Amino acid sequence: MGERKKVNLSSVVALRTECDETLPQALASLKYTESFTVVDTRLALGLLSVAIAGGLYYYEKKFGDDLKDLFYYYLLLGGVTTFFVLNGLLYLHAQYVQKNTKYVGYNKDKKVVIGTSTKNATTPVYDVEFKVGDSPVAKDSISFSELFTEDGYLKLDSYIGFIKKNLEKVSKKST
Amino acid sequence: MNLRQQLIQGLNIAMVVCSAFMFWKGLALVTGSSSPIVVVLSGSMEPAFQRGDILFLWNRNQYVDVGDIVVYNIKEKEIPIVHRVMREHKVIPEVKTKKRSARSKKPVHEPGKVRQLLLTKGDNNPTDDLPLYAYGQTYLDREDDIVGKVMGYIPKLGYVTILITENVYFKYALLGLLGLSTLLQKE
Amino acid sequence: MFSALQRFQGISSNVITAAIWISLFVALSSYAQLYLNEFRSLPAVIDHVKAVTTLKYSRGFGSRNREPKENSRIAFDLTADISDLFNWNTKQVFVYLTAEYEGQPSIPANKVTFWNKIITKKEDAVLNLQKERSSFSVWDVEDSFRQRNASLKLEWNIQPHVGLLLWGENKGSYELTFPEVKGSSSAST
Repeated sequence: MGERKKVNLSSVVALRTECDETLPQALASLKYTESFTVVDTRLALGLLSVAIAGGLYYYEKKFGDDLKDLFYYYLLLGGVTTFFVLNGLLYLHAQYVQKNTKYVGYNKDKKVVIGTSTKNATTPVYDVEFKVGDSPVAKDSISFSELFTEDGYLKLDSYIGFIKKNLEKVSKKST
Repeated sequence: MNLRQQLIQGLNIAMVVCSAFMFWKGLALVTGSSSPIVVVLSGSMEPAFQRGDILFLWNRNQYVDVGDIVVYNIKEKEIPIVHRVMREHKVIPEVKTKKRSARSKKPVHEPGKVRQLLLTKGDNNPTDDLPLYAYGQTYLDREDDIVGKVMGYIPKLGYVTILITENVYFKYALLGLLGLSTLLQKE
Repeated sequence: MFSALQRFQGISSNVITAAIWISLFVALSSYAQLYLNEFRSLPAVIDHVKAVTTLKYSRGFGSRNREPKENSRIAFDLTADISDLFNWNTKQVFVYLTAEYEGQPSIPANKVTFWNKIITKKEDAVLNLQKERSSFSVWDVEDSFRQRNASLKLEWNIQPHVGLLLWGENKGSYELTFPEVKGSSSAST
């Protein structure tokens, strides 16, 4: 991840997105390796459903669109149902598994999960949740003004410092 | 990670397109009609329908009734026609022992099954649709030719699709607007 | 430009939402009103029906290979008041006179339209027709009507400005028998 991007300081969403996208780099410097299981599950579900839709589209292009053809009818029924079931699973996964999680990583068998959010589009505060191993979730907040320069660039050292401080605090609480 | 990010972005776009397609197909399954929502293209049903009106079809009824407004296809022709049923005759055709050539695209009919034959006419046309049917065809077959019966109606909303297909300037103007809005939305 | 686009998006989504709710309200309320007015069944009187059966030999009258095909025309009186079918959501009412008669596989198997009319205003909804002529010459799928009995009914289709299309018919019917071919044998017109 090369040069830093200039971020629009008046957009809370842009500020949060920039921080989220820097998480992997920050945690790599703290000697964590990222785990992609959550993201990969979503990708798999998503790609599978797109593949089903594409397959149905291809079949229709090749063999026509006759609903009276029982084979095509049941194929379509199965495909459409599976597609929406998969999308339902994706939604549930986002609500209950992924939630706010923006980073999952490991350091010597200690699993770290970091979730981020902002209260609304007008409050420039970065709310972060930290969980190490099986510790309880620790919350901390930091104003974006402490993380960004006046020109709109993320201060990497401040960011890494914020994360490091919280991780150490939480690590003490886990077994 | 770059590959993943690209996959995620590509997936989001693909998902929007696929969801729309799947929703359309789902609607086709529920209504039993291969084209459950149609836009009126001609003025042959005025003053009831105008060009650009949107019609909602249902095709799960065994028979249609005289007075119903149906959408039908003439075999081999692309454009669906929306007209009113003027006459219906239920018949059981005689079993023909004539062999059909392998290339014949005529649908296979169950022997002994009642077929509903229909004659249609546009409200705004002076005569019935006989001249529109295929050569040698004197009636429509409910099962073979009818795409669905019109159940619901929304005026004028579909005119955008007519403009897109018929007016080249409008199509490019709309595409330009879409491109412009996606560029401006990038945060 | 950035905020103007957002404002446009906000306004247009509000307008679209409002339009959807209004359409739903109009469609549902007009259906309820018509339902209470029993749109499906209204009284109407069909009377003094005179039918004529002639033989036709051209394709435009149902003849195949120049074989004789029985065609039927009628003249009738009609008294009907369908003003109850008109409300704020009625775009037009399509009224039509149908004849239903038995046929080959089931009873009834055949239904034909003899006459129709489009009514767009409530003021025109009181029909008092005398000796009205059928709009079309009607033929059966068979070559002959075989002097079958038919039930004549007045039916209508209510076309809304937005919402469901509705159908109804009058109570009762007029019984008609298809007459023999006029003049018999080879009289063609």
